[in-house]
Amino acid sequence: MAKTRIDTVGLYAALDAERTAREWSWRRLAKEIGTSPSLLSRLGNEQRPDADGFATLVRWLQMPAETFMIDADTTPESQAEPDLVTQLAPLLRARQDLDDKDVAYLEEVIRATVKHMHATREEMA
Amino acid sequence: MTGKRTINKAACKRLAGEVRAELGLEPMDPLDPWQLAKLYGVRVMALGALPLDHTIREHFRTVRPEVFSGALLPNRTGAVIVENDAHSLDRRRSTMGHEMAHVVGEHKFGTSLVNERGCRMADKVQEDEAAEISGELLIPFEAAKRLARQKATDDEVALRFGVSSELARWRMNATGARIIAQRAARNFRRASGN
Repeated sequence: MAKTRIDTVGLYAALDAERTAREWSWRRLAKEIGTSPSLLSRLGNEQRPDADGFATLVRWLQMPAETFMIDADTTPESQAEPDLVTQLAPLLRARQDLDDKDVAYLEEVIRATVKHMHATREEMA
Repeated sequence: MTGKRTINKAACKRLAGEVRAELGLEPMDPLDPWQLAKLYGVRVMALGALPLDHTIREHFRTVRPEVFSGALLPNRTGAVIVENDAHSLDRRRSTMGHEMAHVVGEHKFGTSLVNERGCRMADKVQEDEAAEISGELLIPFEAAKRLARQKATDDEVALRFGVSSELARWRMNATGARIIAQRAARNFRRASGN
């Protein structure tokens, strides 16, 4: 039998859909579920909940646990992500306290961070 | 009717109290914002650990360190913090506290980028809220009141919570802790006939 893992992205999306429909904050959702806000935040950061946490979440969703179990070797869907540097460049350039070199170097810092996050996500998958 | 949006300080205080409780902290305990980031699953990247050109690293380390303290960047459904680890620990704690305040405050971003004068690239109300929440996270109102009663100096408050004297001074003034303590002492003297 194939090794199985929790589909953190799918579970987070299901919770987010319920939360959005009720116009709740994540903190309010955590209170309603009876879990900690930090557990939901960790889930949003693609960290797996422990067994008790997972059971609590799927039970509240009233969905079978299997819905959020996937083969461990399933490659996570690559989502189209906005290019942060493109998004941020106009904001950085608008700042009076930054000179051209500051902006160019900050863009490099953002680029390096995004690249590092992508690389470590692939390693974790 | 259009009104100027303002922050709800009581709500910020309540939120910070809940977050500190999640970490198991009493009001007089200092908060470790790196531990808070870990609890909330937020990755923290030190500038010095990023694969950057030496010139860029030195620019933010020695040439223009004041322009970059840290940044909170969106990372799919989560977030990542980049912090300037060339800064002093008390300043880094303040930067991290501020960025984590955006996280626990569930602020919409965008990106928040902090320089030495605070956050500069986000919604004004969210910025004020983050300042209030981070202040409460790092030096809670209850602690400020207690320390004011004990006549603690700004430096003593700073030392206790591992923050800068400037931040300690701001909290002791903004919370009105010393005024409350002076008033209580005056009332006590009056009541006891001294």
